[in-house]
Amino acid sequence: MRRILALVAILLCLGILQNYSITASLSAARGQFVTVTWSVVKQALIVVVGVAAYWVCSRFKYMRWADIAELLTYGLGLLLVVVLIPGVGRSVNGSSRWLGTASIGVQPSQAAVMAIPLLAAKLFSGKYLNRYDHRYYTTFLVFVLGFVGLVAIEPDFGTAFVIAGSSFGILLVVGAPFSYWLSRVMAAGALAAVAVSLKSSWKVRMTSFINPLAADKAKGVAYQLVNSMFAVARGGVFGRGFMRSVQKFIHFPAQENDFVFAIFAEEFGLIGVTAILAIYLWIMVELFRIASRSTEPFARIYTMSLGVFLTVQALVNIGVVAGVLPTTGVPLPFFSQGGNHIVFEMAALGIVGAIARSPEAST
Amino acid sequence: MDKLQQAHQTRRLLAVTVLFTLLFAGIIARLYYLQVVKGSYYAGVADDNRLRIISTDAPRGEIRDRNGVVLATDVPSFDIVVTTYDLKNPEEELTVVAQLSGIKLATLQDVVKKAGVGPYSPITVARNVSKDVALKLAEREPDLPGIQLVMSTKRSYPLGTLAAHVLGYTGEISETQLQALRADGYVMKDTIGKDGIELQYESLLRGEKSEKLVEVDAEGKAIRTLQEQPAVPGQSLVLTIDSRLQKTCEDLLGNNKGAAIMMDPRNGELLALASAPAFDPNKFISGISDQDWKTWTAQGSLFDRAISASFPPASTFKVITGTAGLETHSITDRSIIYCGGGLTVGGRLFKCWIWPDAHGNEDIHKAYADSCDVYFWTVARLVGIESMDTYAKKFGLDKLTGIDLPGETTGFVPTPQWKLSKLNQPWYEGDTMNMGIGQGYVLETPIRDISIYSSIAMNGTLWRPHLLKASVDPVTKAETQTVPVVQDTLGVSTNTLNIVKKGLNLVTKTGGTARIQVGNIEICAKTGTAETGTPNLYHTWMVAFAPMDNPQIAVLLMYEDSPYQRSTSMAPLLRKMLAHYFDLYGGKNGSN
Repeated sequence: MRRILALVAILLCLGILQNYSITASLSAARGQFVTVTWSVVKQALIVVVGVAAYWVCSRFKYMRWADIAELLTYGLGLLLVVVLIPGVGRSVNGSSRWLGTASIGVQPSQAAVMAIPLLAAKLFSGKYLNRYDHRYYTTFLVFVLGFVGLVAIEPDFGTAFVIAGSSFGILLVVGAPFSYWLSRVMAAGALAAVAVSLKSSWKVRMTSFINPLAADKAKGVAYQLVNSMFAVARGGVFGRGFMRSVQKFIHFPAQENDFVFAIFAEEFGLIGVTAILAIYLWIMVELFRIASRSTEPFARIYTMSLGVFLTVQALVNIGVVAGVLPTTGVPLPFFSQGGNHIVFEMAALGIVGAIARSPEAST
Repeated sequence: MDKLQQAHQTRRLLAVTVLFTLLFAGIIARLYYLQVVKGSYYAGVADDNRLRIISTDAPRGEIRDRNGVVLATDVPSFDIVVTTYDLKNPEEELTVVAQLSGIKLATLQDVVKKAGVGPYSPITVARNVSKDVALKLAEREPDLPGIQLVMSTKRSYPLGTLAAHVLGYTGEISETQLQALRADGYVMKDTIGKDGIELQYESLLRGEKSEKLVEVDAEGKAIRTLQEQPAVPGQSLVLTIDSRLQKTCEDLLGNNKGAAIMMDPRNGELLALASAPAFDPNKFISGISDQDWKTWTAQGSLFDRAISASFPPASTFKVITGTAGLETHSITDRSIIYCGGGLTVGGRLFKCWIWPDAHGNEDIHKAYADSCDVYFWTVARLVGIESMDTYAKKFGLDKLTGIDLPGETTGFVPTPQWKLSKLNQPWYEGDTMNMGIGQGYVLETPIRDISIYSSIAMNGTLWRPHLLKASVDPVTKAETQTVPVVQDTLGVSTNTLNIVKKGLNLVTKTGGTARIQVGNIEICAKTGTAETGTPNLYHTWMVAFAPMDNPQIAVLLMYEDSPYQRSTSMAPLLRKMLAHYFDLYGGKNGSN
């Protein structure tokens, strides 16, 4: 557990530094020279709140979470519906993801990092899952389909993709029969293809991804993609050095959150990127190790599911920056600017902390 | 969970670990490809000074009248832009620009500093520079890296002062507006609607700017466009205005102060909405001379008297007094009131306008025809101030008509409570009588006055007055028609309104106060002469609608500090407005 915390701490610190690099340079470019921008202070405060969330969650007996897992699942479902109600949910850049005000808001979809692993742990623990009984898998998938659908309507294509992808990953690790798994993955793929072809805004994203450098009729969607590829390319092997990104000055629609990794790649190069990827992989391996050491099913499945979820999210974010996945807005776990995802991720990790502390799980 | 299951899961964990590791490796391979293999290509293009985002304004939507006459459009012009990164000697180069353009150096530096964009984004520092300046700058351009002349557009109002208050004008976005609108994509020096339709429908007219990602050479010249997001032109607007009728109205106002309105009572479409004195919106685009500005301020030229000014409605208010009398059963259409030329109330003699002559016995129809003050004083006294206020409010004096222009104000309905608290005086019977003939404290805007007559014409239904007839998509040419909206219903019986209408009809007949004849069309009209406080200086009103039984048009003419001593002298002018309308549109619907 200590190793995980150390790795997460590195990511959190790098996230704040990167935020500083971007916002300080941007404000300098606007003629305001400041040493510490408000954005950096806010990010640091969020990290403090995240650490507090970790601490609180790790103090509970982890089985308490099993008791309320169901409640949390339905609660999240309800919030995802509420966020869609015009006038209640707050719309930012055309998608209705937020509850609350502009300065302090909650993005319910980001709670999936807790809800999905908890739901998996609740459904798949304590039961003998034989290959002929698919009921629990199906129940899980039905819930997931509901979440994915609600999140996609917001629309938050990226988070929907992470939820769907990690859920299939979870089914794989908990031991769903391979043929069952493969058929459901294919069905989901077909469903997604139909949805994309029906909804033009999603279609635009897909086509802009396929040919980002072509004269763009997609009205700026491919912009961030092109710029992110340029940024990454400019990094080279060793990077241009901290605070030396040039690309960040050029129009970057989501430069202060989902694309920080592009700036990171420009400043730290292939070596820096490989290091970050290694950290995520390492965190996953550590979580899997805690899981496989544990004999208690809930603890075991929760921990491995969280490992899968975080890894998929990191993969999606970096895949987008590298131009191998369609443009979506997924934060990089523990790294990207923005309060919600860091707090929820730290809380989710807190449950692992509780698991690691309990004797029956760590033997 | 048994051991077997656990072992199965552990195997799966291993498999997933391997899978994710492979995916990560794939991404690293991809990044290696981007950063090392193709790196030189992308990095070359992306290198420090070779990518620019060039943003060009979208053409602003045209504004046309109902027959397609262009009222506002874009014409080509030149802008000066600065790319700070490319400046070799910022101070010197900006000094040259300052000398050529006549803009202060400090202003230019301030604009550059406050632009809020990165060093690679061009900043517009001057718009609509004259051809002369543009030519001189074009000559010097090779010596001025980072400074460019850009083709752009400026707003033009081909008909000059015509419908100036309706159209409004555009201008450079102000700093406070910019703070509020930055999220909508506005930047410094952007053009934005400042008044009138230009302001009201800014979001439709504006369009979306084009953005081009271009590769430039060492001189800052574009050599290749990597990506282009074409501009989306703003929507064209079709107004309800008929520029021919608008012209007639403005000619009638001439050099006087006042307002003239023509409105279709059946749907609220405004065929003309004029306010005088007017201004030339083109002068806002090219820069206003001090002298123009002084004249405009002195005359209140920018003030839209048709919707933003309220005046005592004088005798035009008598329709409300009469309606109140009939509806409260204080009178019937058979009640006779004797006019002896005056009325003594509270020891004071109130003189009818005909004093020292007299009207004699009057019923309501004849009272309208004669505009007899004694009759309506008596009605107001019978009705009482409370019901008078109720009916003034029913006719919407305290409400906005909802016209789609910025700056509308309401009229005013005085109450005893108001008088006590504001003027610290009790409400006298004389105040009620004064209100009965539209004098004293009661106020109306011209747009409200014509709305009142329109609702009477339509048996109690007021259609919201509006100017936007349709908006036209620039690409698909699809028109979005404005759907007329019922703004208010009077809640007054048709019988009452028919009595009032009959009275108003008599106004235009032989023996009435304003004889008007247009073919054989039955016209309803009312005049009004309001005291200004200055002896022998009046605000004069005249309002009409026709045909009586099948109303097609309502017209209003109003002079502030009128050239006429009596509103009845305006009858020929109003006849001109009606005649012009029926010339143009009468054939279609015929007379009654």
